[in-house]
Amino acid sequence: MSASEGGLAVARSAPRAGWLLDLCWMLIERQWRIRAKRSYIGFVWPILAPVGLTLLYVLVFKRVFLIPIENYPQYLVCGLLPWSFLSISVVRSVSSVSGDADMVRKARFPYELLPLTIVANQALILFVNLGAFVTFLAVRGELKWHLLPLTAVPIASVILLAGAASLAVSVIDVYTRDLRFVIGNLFGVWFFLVPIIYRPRMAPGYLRWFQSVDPAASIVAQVRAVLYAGRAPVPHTALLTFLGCAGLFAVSLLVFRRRSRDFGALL
Amino acid sequence: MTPAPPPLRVEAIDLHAAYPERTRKGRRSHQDRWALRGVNLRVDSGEIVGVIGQNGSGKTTLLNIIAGILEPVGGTVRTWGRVTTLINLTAGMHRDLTGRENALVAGVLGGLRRGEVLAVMDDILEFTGIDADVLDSPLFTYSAGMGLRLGFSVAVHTSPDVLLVDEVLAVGDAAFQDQCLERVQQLAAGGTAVIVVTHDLDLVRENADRIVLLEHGAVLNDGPPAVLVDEYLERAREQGARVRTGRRRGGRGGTRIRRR
Repeated sequence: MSASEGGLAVARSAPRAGWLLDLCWMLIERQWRIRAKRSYIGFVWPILAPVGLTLLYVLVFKRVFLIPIENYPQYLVCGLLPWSFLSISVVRSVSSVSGDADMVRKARFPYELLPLTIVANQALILFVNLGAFVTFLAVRGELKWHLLPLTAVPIASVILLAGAASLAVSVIDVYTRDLRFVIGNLFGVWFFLVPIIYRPRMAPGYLRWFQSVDPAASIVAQVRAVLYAGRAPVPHTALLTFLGCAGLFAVSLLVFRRRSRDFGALL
Repeated sequence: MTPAPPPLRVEAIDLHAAYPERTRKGRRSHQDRWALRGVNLRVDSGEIVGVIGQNGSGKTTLLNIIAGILEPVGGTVRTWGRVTTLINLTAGMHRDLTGRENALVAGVLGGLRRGEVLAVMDDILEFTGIDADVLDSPLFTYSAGMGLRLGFSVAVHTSPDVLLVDEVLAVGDAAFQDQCLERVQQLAAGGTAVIVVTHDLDLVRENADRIVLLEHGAVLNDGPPAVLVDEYLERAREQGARVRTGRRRGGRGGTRIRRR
């Protein structure tokens, strides 16, 4: 039995777990199938894109601006991989609910799956790219195997952060379409605030406070500690960042679920 | 011994619904527009109930609340079993995906497990009457009617306990319309509770067991189809509307009201 009462979804029967898994997988598979249509190497582009971006940044910042960082390509990739995942996930999630308004108006299902399956899709790409990078480091003998499991904490943190931000921006977009026009610019600003292309100490002093509270900066630093510097991340920073990202995700999910009751009327 | 009454499938008690009013710039105003005011409805297993009324009388809102898509601001609605909507037939379908791929998406979205959709996929595709090779082509190569046929076929193959139909029984050509109506009747005979929202008065007069007449978001009357359709037509004439009777060429949908 399912029921709703007085504007509050009470006693609506919990969706079957098996069906929810099928729905998640179907939404992820649908994105991959659409990506592959009318493209010769649709599946390969997400993996090639970071390689191209890295080459471009190496050319610009190492060769033109002569940025003094050793092994700059590796340094850059350690920052670009989590950052690209975060930014692409969130930017693509903005219109995930309003863009699929037809689905929302047709059937009742956990609408949070719309942005979260985009994050899951990008997470698969992140894992493939990380795997390729780790293999590259191993072949060059630059990987400290015993530290590798420690990347799980920053990767879990960035997935939670991307999930939180995706839920937040997708629900905002239901109420106002303004965010979708500026989110690219916002991520452009954020990109230069996070020490991805430069060392943290190269930033002016007034930006250090931002880096100290920015979860993205902490995540990049943790990945870089393991895969670039070959040392363990600072434990309490890693734990705090993870807990902070988990908290943000929980709050975003709660707000999304509350607001999603209005989606049928607003879309 | 008296036979047991058919099980209840839908029960709405004192439903109230409102939409946020929008300003000229599309922003939400502080005033809400009432869509339903104290609607009560019970639909049993195997019953076909037609919901008629003017545009804006709350028919689609009622259907959306029963489907769980809209939340009421007051009252209670309960449904028993799987609820399938025939509201937006091509929702979730993507123009670059093939008919088969879109059928899988629509089937899972309709509440079936992936394996269940694949098990009835041949039946779904056969019901559409579309050539097998066309079904492996992208949806953008289909006519609008073919896409709607596919959506209809998926929906009626989800074994619904409650089927909610909003003005979509006029999909495709006359032969397919008859096939759709026959399928809905088969589902009702099998125990599915069917609620049909329509302006096609002949359709509900001939096929519904009961009609609910809505006006300004409230139930004006609930009773036998012939009586309720005549009452609705009489009210429409009194309000100065033009009533068109007789069958349309090649299909149903004869008696309709055109308001001046």
